[in-house]
Amino acid sequence: MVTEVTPRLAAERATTPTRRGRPRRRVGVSRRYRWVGLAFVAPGLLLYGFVVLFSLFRSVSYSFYKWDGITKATWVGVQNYTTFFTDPVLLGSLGHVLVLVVFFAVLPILLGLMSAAMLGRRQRPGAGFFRWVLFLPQVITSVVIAIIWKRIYSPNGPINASLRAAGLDRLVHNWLGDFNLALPALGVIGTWAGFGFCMVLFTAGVAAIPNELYEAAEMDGAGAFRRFLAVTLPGLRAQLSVALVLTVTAALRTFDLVWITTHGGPGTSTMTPAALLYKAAFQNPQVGLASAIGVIVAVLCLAVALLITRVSERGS
Amino acid sequence: MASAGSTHPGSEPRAVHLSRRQLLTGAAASAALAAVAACAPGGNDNSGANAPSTVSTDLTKLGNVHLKMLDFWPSGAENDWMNSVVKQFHAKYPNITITRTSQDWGDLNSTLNLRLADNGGPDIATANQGWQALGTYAKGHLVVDLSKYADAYKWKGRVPESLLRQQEFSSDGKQMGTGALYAVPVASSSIIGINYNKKILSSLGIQVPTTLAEFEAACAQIKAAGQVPINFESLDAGPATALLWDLQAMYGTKQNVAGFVYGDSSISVGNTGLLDAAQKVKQWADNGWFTPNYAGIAYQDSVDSFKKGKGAFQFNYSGTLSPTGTEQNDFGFTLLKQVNGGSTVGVGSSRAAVVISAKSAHPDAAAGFLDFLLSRQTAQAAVDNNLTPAFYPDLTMPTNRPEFAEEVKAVQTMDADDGYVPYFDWTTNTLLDTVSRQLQTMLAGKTTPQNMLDAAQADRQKFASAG
Repeated sequence: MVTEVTPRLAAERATTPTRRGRPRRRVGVSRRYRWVGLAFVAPGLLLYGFVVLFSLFRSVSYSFYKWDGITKATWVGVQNYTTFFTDPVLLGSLGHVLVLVVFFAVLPILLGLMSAAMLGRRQRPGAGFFRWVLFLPQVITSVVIAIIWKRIYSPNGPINASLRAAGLDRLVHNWLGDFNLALPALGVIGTWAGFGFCMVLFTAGVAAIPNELYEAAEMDGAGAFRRFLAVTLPGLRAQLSVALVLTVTAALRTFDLVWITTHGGPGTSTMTPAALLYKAAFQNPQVGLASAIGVIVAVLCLAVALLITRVSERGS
Repeated sequence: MASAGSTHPGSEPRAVHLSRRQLLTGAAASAALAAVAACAPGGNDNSGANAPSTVSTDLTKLGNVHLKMLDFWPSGAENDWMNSVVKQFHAKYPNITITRTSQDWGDLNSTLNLRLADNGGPDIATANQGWQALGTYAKGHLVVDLSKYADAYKWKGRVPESLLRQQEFSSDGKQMGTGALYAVPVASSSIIGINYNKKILSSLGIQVPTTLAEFEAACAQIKAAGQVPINFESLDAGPATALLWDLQAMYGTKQNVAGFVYGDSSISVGNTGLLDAAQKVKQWADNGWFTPNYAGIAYQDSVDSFKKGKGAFQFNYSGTLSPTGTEQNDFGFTLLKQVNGGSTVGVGSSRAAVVISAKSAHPDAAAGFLDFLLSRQTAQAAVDNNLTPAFYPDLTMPTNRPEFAEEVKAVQTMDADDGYVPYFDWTTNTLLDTVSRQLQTMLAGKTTPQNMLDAAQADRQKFASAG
């Protein structure tokens, strides 16, 4: 179990005995130091308390009211929450983000692992170029990404034009205007945008795996695939959990992409909780409902993060 | 790693004790924060109506006044127009200075409630009509009740009744279209009508239609000639509803649509022409009269393609197309007569409803400017900047802008006939969402026009029962 202690914690503990070993009369001084420390932290703590904690509690309290943002709010108990879980549009939006999780998290991670396995270990000619190209979407503003893809998906955009040029007219579609295709089409944008991030995270992780492990595996007769399963994948556990937490919560919070391309349409086929939250908070004054949606999304994100961290820690 | 083993055993309880204390402190702080945060939000309900006790219309006697104005005309013709109006007002009343802050329509609308509640906020602001915006501000007493100014400046005689009504709310904030006046329109209107491509019509020998029957005959002929009759998109569902609202105004009566919007419970959605309009939209889609693949086309792309010659007709808000240079000769703007009765009505409103913040220290000066926004100078300044004016039939018109002249003519018809039909979606704060979703779903063949009708009725009932 000792080996489980992270280096930072270990270093902290290592210094403890000397500090704690001081004569008793110096306790007052150390206590004063603690208050001094607190004073140093105070500005940040106050800011955090006001910006994050206060707003958080405020949202939670709003979520129990029916409020138009101006006139006196009326207490409605958990009605906003029951609305969320009974309204077909709101409930449907949860289903949509589950589909988006596949595109925003699962696919980028799989592709990221593949490219890390291919690009990570040995310097191949052009590897830097590939990394640069694949990472590019990560540095583009999400709004720009959405606008570019709205154009790409348009009925006479590049995708349909190429399909027609290749004689594949039967595959030409209204990508963003089709009830069945709009959501996967949005998902593909997320995969494209998130893939570079996973790749960079995993290639960095692969580089940190000691070469000896690969050599040992090779000596034991493991092929490339076996080495990937037995050495690379376990070695990337920490990066995997980080990537999962970030991409899954991003999928749960999807807003800008949907808002710019489809506004949740056609019908409600690409509606996400965050888009509904925005509508409720800023377009149709229903601040209580908006807060309830926010709280639910936050709880979901927290649960996902905890679950993933728990599972990845248990495995190690 | 091995150094971890040398941890002093005695430090453990202390660490636990500390973390418990931290936990308790944290919990206490959190509880305090939660307590502060938990009080009921809002509370402008009890401040009473914001009607000034006395009003003055003699602006020269007000001394030096500085007014802050917040508007959604940040660029282009509207910005030039408002700058010119503010300048003319200052020339007339040198003691009153107005500073403008302009923002994009969406940005302004999503934050205006907070800014009106702010002591340092604007004196004058542009607002959107309906329950999403103005209705809520009136209910929350964020804006001044202008009834006394309306009497003092005699606005009732100068502005079409159908237009003024769009800014009225009952004192309990439950009814729209009646009661006190909370905003004034400006001398520039915007309506929904039909832009047409003159080249396509003349090449096929088609006259500009004036009735729905003529319009449909023209569409059939254009389709037979292999052209797109109606340039339409539905990817951006909000703007796509322009077609639906215009058809609804042709089928429903002005009184019934207005009655429904203003909350008259004796009028159900079935009396408003929505079903006929929705069926017509579906029929046109099935006829193949819309732009191919319209479901995947975005609004701005649709307008651009129409300007480039795709499609013979497009349902637009006046001023949307704003063709430049010689393009002015290629397009026209027309309204169709109602299916029954044959009078011309149009869905439309003032370019903005202008409010005075209840926090303003200078409501008299602000009301003076609101009066100026209704003046002939403001209307003429609109024309000079290629914006459709309102109220004044005898303005100096440019001679080299035929498309614009037709838009102006259409608006003037509505002024003369008192023919403004309010936007149907003002009925509730969610109706635009509901109907635009239904429009997309119906066009995809997943629901029927009757479903749209039911959804609209349910939306209104939910709003009414929620009070």
